[in-house]
Formats: sequence, structure tokens, C-alpha cells
Amino acid sequence: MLYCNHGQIKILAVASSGGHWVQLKRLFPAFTGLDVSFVSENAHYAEDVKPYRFYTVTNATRHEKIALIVLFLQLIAILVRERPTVVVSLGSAPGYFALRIGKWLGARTVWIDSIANVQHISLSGRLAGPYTDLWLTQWPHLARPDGPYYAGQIL
Amino acid sequence: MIFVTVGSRLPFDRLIKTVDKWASLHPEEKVFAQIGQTDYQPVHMGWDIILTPRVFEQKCVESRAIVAHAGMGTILIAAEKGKRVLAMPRRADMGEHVNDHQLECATWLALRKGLKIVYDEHELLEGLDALDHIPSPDIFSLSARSPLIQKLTNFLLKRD
Repeated sequence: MLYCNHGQIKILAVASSGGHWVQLKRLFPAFTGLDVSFVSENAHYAEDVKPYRFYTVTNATRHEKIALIVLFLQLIAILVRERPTVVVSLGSAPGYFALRIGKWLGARTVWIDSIANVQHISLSGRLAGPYTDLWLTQWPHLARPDGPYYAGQIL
Repeated sequence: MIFVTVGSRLPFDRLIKTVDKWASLHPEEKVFAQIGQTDYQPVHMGWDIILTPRVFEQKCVESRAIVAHAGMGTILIAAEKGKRVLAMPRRADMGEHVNDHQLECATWLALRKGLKIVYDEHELLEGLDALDHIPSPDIFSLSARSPLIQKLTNFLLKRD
């Protein structure tokens, strides 16, 4: 661990805008009473999580190299500032980078693949797997012995 | 009012143009569309490129039905608001998305009450004529069911 937080739980929850964010909101009961801050690409989502901290990052798809680099640097700054003990990611690119950076900084990591990925897990979910402590798909038929695992759906 | 949305990330002109055409044939119906970043400007319905989440939810609540791409964000919000949805999946071969996951989802989505999936412009026009025939969705909670919440909670509190 590059930092010590004396056992306090501090969560960074990350999701792309749109369906990923809507699914993250449906997980809010799991964060009750815990220190949590949020990351997404739409600044207006801050209203959804008041009074918790919200960070806006740039929108970047897998084909936009410059935007991806900017996104990566933004997330490094956020994670160094927040020093979460757990990173919860609902995908996609911001969630992947946050999870990798978080794991490097010593955080425990969660990946919950979008319920929209019915036939196979997402590319970012596959890439995140080896760095994820709780690796979940929302479809039983996509679960594998070594992950991702199925533990229910956001529905 | 019929609320049309293509989501916050990509345009979907195939859907918007078809609904605009339908709206031209039904001037008695108020239609409002969130059209995304596109050069096409609808003529027969009100529109905006993007909406804040609050306005988006307000439009959903005001509507009698939602016509949309098959995006999970819209479908979940519509279900939470108890609104019926007519949805057309985006297709990667038409440049409407980076992959076909909306098409892949459609088979499962079509089973859900309150949601009708259409695959082309003709079916979309027919669906618009029959919006009231889509059964209202079942009551939908505002959060995930307890198994996933419990799994996540146990992990966060190191109880797993």
C-alpha cells in the first residue's frame, strides 16, 4: 500500500454516462453510511449524488487516443486526491482506468459489467478482470469458474 | 406528449427521421425529441440536442410513452417512471454504435412488460400508431434487488 487510511472505508464509484450511471445509481443502498465519491463524464450528475463529492472527467471512446490520455491523467489526479480503499466500477473506459490506477495504489476493486452486455462481457470488463477483486457479470450464463461471477442484477 | 430520445452519446438519425415523418402525419400529437449531435433538424416535432438529467426525467414523466434507442439508461429510467417504451436497437453496420450490443440485448428486452422492440422504420411507424397497445410496465423499484446489493455491501465492509 502506498498510503494508509487506518482501516477506514473510502469508496470511489465510477461509471460512464448514460446506462452505466443509471445502473450505478441503483446500487446506492450499498453505499449507505459510507464515505463515497463519484466519477462520470456528465457534470450534471453531481445533482444525483449531493452532498457527496463528484468529479467530471472527459468523454473518451477506445478510438480517441488523445482523449484517453487526458482521461487517464484526470483519473490519476482524482485517485491521488481521494485515496480510495475501494474502487467500484460500472465501466467503461473511466471505470477501467480508475480500477487499474486504484489497484496500483493498493485499493480493493469491484467491476460490475453492464446489464446491457447479454451475450458476452464487455471489452473493458475483460481487460479489467485480472485486476479485479470482485468481478461480476449480471448474467448467469456469462459467469465462469475464475470469474466473472454472477451475484444478481441491478434490475 | 410522446418523448423521443436517442441517448447522450451518439445521434440516431434513422429513428429521428422516421418519428419526424410520423409526426408530420399526426399534427394532433405533441412530440418532443432529444436528437443528439446531428445535422438533421426535425421539422414536425419540438427538439433539443441534449437535455440535462432533470429535464430528461421531467420529459419522461410528462410523456404518455417514450420512443427511444434500445439503451439501458433510457429503458431503466422509463421503467422507474412506469412509462411504456417503443425501442429500436442501434446497428453497428449502419454506424449507429461501435458494436451490436443493443441488437444482442433486444431478444431479452423484448420479453419485458412495458417495452416493445422494433427493428426497422416500417415497424417503428406501426409501433407509433399502436403505442397504447403496449402494456404498462410492472411497478419497478428505484434500486437493485437485494442479492447484488448484499454482495456488494459484504465486499465493501470486508464481510465476504
